Amino acid sequence: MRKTDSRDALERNLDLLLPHVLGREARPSTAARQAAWKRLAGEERVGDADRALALFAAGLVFVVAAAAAALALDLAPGSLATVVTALVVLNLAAIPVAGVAIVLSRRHRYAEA
Amino acid sequence: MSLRSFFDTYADLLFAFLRHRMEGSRADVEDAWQETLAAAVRGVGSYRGESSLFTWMCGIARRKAADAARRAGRRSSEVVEAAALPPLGDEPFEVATIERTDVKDRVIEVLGGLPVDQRTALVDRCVHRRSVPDIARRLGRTYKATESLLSRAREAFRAAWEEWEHEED
Repeated sequence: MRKTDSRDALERNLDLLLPHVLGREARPSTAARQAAWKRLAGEERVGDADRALALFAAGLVFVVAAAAAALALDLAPGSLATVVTALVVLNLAAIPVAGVAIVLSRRHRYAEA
Repeated sequence: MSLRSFFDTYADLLFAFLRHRMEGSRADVEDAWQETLAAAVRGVGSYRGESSLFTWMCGIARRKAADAARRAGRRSSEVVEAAALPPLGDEPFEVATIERTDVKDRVIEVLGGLPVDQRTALVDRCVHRRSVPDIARRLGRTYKATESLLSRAREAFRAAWEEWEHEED
């Protein structure tokens, strides 16, 4: 088969196949699209909240471990309170930072490898 | 890629994929579609890039369609076609070929793997029957550039189709 014939056949077959596969019946309605989008955006928000919570929980574990270590080492009570308070403040401060990191990471999450 | 462009790029193709393989009502398809999209968003971290992102999502869609069929007490519509597919560049396909589930699946998978501009141009031309000047206007390209884009899109489609034929061998 000549190259031109093969190109024509390819064009003809795509003109047959694509409308058949992607015709009106195979397209979602506007309402269905909106509902799907709403659910998807909700999924992402829940996912982000889960990740933020996991980060916060990890931070808390770190604080408790630091406090336990400070107690075990028998540090002066005044300095222990200072250390624990500083760690709690640091942990809380990490939340908005983690939030920004999560939002930025969204941009790359769906990219092709 | 933002969630919005992820949705705009793949959602409609996934719907078509499910519509062709599910025997249930349109509402059943919409449910499975939403579940597929949600599962893809939740599981995208586990995507390892071994296949295209869209092929990976088609795998999720197959499972969701099978789950829906099980819930409805139907057999899964997983169809194994014995006959090999004819090449795209030979004779025009017969109606029986176009109706095959594996052919429809493959058309959608191949489209999902094409670069977005190629796919948009191809769908505009073949499905919406838009003229080349109209597509050029919509894509903000010159007439020549659009013709070239369409030509590359057709060849990319053929290459992906044939690659699959060889995988089947």
